[in-house]
Amino acid sequence: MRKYIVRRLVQMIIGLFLVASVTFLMFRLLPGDPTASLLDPAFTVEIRETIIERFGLNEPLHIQYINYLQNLVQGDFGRSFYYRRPSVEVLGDKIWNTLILMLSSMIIAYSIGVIGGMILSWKRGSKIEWGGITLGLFLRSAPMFWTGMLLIMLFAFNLGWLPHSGMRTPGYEAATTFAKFFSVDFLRHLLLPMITASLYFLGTPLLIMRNTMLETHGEDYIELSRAKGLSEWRIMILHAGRNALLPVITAGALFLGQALGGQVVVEYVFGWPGLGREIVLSAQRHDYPVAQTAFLFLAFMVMLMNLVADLFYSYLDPRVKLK
Amino acid sequence: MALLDVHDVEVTYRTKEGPLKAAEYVSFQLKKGDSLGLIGESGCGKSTMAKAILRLLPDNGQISGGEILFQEQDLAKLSPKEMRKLRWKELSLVTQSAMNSLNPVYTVGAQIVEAIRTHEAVSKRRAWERAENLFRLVNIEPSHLTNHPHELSGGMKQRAIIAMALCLNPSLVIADEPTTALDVIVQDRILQQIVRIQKEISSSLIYISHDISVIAETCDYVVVMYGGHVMETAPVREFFRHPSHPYSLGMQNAFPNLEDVDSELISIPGYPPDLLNLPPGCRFSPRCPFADSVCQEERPELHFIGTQHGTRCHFPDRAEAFRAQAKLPETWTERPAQGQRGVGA
Ligand SMILES: Nc1ncnc2c1ncn2[C@@H]1O[C@H](COP(=O)(O)OP(=O)(O)OP(=O)(O)O)[C@@H](O)[C@H]1O
Ligand SMILES: [Mg+2]
Repeated sequence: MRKYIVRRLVQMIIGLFLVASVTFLMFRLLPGDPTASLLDPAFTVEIRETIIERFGLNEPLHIQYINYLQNLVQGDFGRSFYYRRPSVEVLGDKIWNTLILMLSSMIIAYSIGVIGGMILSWKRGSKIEWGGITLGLFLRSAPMFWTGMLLIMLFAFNLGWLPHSGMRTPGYEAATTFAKFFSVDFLRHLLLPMITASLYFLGTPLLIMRNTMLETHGEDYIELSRAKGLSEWRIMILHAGRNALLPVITAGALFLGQALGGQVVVEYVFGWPGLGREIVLSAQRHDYPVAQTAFLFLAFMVMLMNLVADLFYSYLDPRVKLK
Repeated sequence: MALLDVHDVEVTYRTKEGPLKAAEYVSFQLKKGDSLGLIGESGCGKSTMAKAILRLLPDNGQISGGEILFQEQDLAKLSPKEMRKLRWKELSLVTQSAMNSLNPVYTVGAQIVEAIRTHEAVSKRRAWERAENLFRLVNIEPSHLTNHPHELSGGMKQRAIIAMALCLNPSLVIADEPTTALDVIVQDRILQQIVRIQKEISSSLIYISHDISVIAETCDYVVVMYGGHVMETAPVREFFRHPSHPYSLGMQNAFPNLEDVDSELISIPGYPPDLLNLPPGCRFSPRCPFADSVCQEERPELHFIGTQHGTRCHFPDRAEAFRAQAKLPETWTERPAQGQRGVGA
């Protein structure tokens, strides 16, 4: 078990190295001049050159790449061109903001999806099942920015119940760290983006759970459970559901990659100050160090959640031995 | 009063090709503490009857007629909730695929405890102790209770299921070919255990098999099914001394005879009937060497030739002559003139 985790961590480091390399190249292939954001047109030529040198932008690409990796290994993620601060510092709080939004919507989507999928399969052939499948397919294919806009229009503009963007009302100062994330003001801001993201994430676990649950109907252990005189609820949740959960977790781990893209969109639509929004902004500003670091963080989160999903899977399925 | 009185039960499956009657006019009785062997070729409706008694038919199947009187109440008429209370507490089932019937994600012990605690208000601890005793009874080391099913061998899983089937001292245990998936030596041991324990806790047993010799060893009564009908029913000694239905005769020919080791094995030519396309008269008539025109046209009743011995044949009085002729291989190889239908080429 310990060996397994160590091996997975090594794999993660290799994965992160690849992500770092790809994002490094990707941003440099983008059209546009990064020095534009760095340099004020009013600067003299000498000042320009010193600045460019300080950021290492005068070096050829492969030297820049090697420098970047060397710095990374030493824990230096580079300085933001735009904020003129270390990129880690720029992203510091934003990681938490992203995590809160992402985890809360995932948990909601998976809880509702799994329970909903169970019910759909138990009601097979009924109108409820038909409606549920249609809704699941619809949610999965509805673009997030579209659902987001609809919700903003309805709840923020027409009804005026909830704020349309941001994370806190301007001028609001939290007294404690706890209040920062658990105040009514914060939760009101969280609600719309969370619902949007949950709706988007909901389709996949709902449909997969229904499918794998259907397959359990014919299993011998379900027949035995009936013969034992267990109640339908107990059979559905503790026997069929417990087994059907396994493929949902696998699929969920794979789905995390897709969730990443969704996260970027939802943060952008709702002006949520997280990593995803920062990626978009810094890409527009040609602020490579911030964009690259944000990417690395997101990739790290996804890999970590993948590992957690695998550990959870082996916990749920006694037949799986991690080696 | 019999513990179980199955009376003219009919089970219908809805299929794409129309309704399929997998059992029809099935009647038999079973007294407390007795064991009954249900035999017949594959597809004759044995498992269907087992599931009908427990009301565990699949969604497309239903009991479309008759009564299943168990402890004087009609199981076919009970509400799902009342039925649930009886299941396992009074009626337990060991299936053909019992080995795969354990839920892979729970320990075997947890699954036995679940069965006990569903029906009796006992503590987990107490239920676990009972599970340990049951494991000893079926010769499994009680420490295996903490294993998951994939950690046990096939024979152990089968015995674990048998232990589970006995955990509430049910009045009736139905064992549907409980040993087919196991090797012969294990089969035999398990069979002996089932019978020993069944006698010990004086529960009744319905033992389903297509192996006539197993039934001969284990059961007090025999019920022979063919194409969804009961063809013959008799106490076990009577059945082997005076088999009366031509199908029973054919079946006894097809298995090695313990008393007469030299006798030749003769199989019945042809195949069981297609239940969607049944012959109008006696269901065995297309394969029966003694069939007459009346056999093809009229469905025979179950005629009683002794108090407990019934045969669904138009000629119960000719049984003596049938028995003599059935011993001769040429009786079965020479096709009866009217027997083309259903006879394999
Ligand atoms: N769910 C079902 N839907 C339609 N037909 C079915 C269904 N289950 C069983 N049958 C049919 O009913 C008949 C009896 O099946 P059953 O399983 O009771 O036979 P069996 O005597 O137990 O045979 P075996 O010895 O192979 O177990 C068969 O012809 C089978 O094809
Ligand atoms: Mg069967």
